Amino acid sequence: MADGVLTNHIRRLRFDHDEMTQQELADKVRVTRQTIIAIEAGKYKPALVLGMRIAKFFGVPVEDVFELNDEVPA
Amino acid sequence: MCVQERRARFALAVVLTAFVLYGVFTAIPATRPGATAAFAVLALLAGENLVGRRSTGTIIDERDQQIGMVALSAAFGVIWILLILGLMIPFYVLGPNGVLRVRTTALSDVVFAAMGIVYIVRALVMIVLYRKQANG
Repeated sequence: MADGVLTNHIRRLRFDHDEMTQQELADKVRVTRQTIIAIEAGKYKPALVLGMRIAKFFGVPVEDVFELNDEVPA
Repeated sequence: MCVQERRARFALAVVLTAFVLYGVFTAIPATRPGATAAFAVLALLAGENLVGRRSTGTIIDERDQQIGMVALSAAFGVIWILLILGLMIPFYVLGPNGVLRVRTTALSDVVFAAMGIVYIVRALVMIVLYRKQANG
């Protein structure tokens, strides 16, 4: 489900927010802790809504949470 | 381990127990006629959703739904293949005019076994996908 194309900075953002735990973040964005673990490890690519919910919670743009490492032809 | 994975393991344990009991009952001549009764254990699958019921927070999210859909697709694919094989093999072995005599309980055995296989494949795929995402 994850292929290294999409990386994220959720772990750093969690630590920057009073060292928030994965469970706390999971409760805030309404997913399971295991989903947060899988996202942070790059093993699961969240749907758009979940990605935007995470970004909205941290108060940053989606691009600051997720990074697309893929060559898109112009 | 998330709630859905625990439920998948529960379903796998129930179905495997039913199959093992069926095998044991079939192997013992005295219980062979009533071997179908072993599949009564499958009734416990109704309790699958009770597993992890007291967990707090989100129990099923988008990832669980996605894994569930993949698992169900795999289970459908497997049972479809088995159904086609089950229909084609007698045809090719016995020919178009062949006659196959089976016990009257054979139909219920096939139906229960098919249901059990669906649950087994679904549970195994779910467990593999959850473990893969947990460990890599």
